Amino acid sequence: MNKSCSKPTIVDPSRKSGRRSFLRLTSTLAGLLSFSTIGAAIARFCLPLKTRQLSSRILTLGRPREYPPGTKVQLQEGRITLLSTEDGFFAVSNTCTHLGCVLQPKKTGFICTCHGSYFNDEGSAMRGPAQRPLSWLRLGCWPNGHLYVACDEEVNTGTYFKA
Amino acid sequence: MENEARESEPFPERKLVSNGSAGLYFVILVLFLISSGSGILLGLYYKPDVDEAYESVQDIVFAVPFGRLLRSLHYWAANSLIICIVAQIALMFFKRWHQDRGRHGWRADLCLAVLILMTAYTGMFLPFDQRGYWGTVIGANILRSGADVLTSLGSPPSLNPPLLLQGLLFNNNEIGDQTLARFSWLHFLVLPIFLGILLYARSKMIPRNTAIPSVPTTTTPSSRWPWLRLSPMLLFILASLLLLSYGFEKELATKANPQIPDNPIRAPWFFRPIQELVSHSSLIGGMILPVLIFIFLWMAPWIDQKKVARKLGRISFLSPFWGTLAFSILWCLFWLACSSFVASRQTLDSDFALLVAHFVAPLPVFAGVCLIWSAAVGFISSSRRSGFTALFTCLMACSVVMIYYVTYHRGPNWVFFLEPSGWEN
Ligand code: FES
Repeated sequence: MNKSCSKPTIVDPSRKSGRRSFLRLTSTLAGLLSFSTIGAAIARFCLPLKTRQLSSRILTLGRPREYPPGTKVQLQEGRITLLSTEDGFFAVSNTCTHLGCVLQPKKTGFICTCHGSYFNDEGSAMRGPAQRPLSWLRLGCWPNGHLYVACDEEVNTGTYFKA
Repeated sequence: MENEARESEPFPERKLVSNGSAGLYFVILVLFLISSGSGILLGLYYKPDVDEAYESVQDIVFAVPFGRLLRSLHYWAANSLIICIVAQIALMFFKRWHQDRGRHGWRADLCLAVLILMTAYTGMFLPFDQRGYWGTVIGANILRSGADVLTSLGSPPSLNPPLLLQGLLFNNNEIGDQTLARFSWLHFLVLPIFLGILLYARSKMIPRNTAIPSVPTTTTPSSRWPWLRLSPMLLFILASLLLLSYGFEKELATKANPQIPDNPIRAPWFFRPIQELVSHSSLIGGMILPVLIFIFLWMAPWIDQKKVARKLGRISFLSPFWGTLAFSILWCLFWLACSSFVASRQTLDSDFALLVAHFVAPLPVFAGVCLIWSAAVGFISSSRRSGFTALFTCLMACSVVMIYYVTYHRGPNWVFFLEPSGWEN
């Protein structure tokens, strides 16, 4: 009914008063800061712990002469294969470098049943979607003459171990 | 044109429920409720523990009264849910409901589809059978392949989305207790809550999204409870699902064996296109293409306009839908045959066919040809809309072809077989 009431003038507080805009800015910043801290803490909580994997598992095998050249032994429930050749010993991981299925050994090489990748005995990808070669694992010899495999330590392809 | 005509029409009251999208939405809602209900009951017996999960599912199937029926019901409801959300998305696209004001509904549907697929994926791992275990191993490694590329480009681990996602979902590189704990938590609570919220929000969008300008202001009793009229439909859905679960029981697969994967191991049908793509290249098929497809679908309301396509005249085989359907089925089959041919040979010989196959087989060629075709359709008809219709049709048709291909032509060691009987002997 009153004409001045029907059209209220909107006052923009940020423009009028420096104190208000300052307060708004600081409270926004404080809010952002506290929420991002909480968010970061939650994110860190959700991400996995890494400590468990750091320790390397060592697998002790028999003496070198138990594996004459030409033998192919499955270790670690089929996740590692030990091969003995004229050049020496080497161990290849049996996890497919495509998407992580466990390879099945053939007479020569390994085949992945998941998408049909084929690796030769040295672990190079010959066929199928896998691109990278299988990793070679570090072999060693205990003082008592037994071989061991360090299951989590990779070595360069082509480093044969001579006992 | 069609849209404008619909918009100028006065709002018909029945349309709120008789509209295809709303009806389908109702079915989705009912299926969600049925799968939640059966899931809650199954949860009474399920133990999320690596050593006990399989045995507890065995108990449900073999010992608990009606357990087998309930598990099958859960399975069928979830599968129908996936079919319905895909149908909803296709309907929205082809009927052009996703444009303008419909875009929120369209995007909600895309999010629903992603959430439903994630729920299905996490649920797949819970029984700890072969398919679930290896599917999870492969899923973790697909994210891994994306993460590796970003790492080699020099991004730190904290700014590596696939790596973070892998940590968040799978918890560890080794699939085991921790993964099962997260997956069951996601499957039981987190994803269903998001799904419920999104479904509720989606129900609020229905009138607008079907290009009806406004909901009538006067509420008659019948329109206040529009769902009430659908109770016969509810009974029908429930009855047919029960019949399905009774007739086609979900069998319990063999227990997960972390040493030997099944040969061959096939993903559930809705992941088969991805499985086929991944078997060509894990990075392109598992990460890049799915992300590009999602971006394309998300942007669809912006990029395709309401402009009416120019008549294509007599070249009807180029019509955006039928032409693309025929083309993409043929091209997909031809490409799959070529790449299987390459995979079956160990070394390159001078054979001309092999040379062609080598040239055609890579995955980018496959996706590129689909893109070029759609661009050509859009260009010839001088309508962006036709181009995007072609691309969308391509997407749908190729998915169906790949599902068929994985089911009937991929045998042990993922080798091509002409027919399934080939690998049995
Ligand atoms: S996981 Fe071995 S080929 Fe895909």
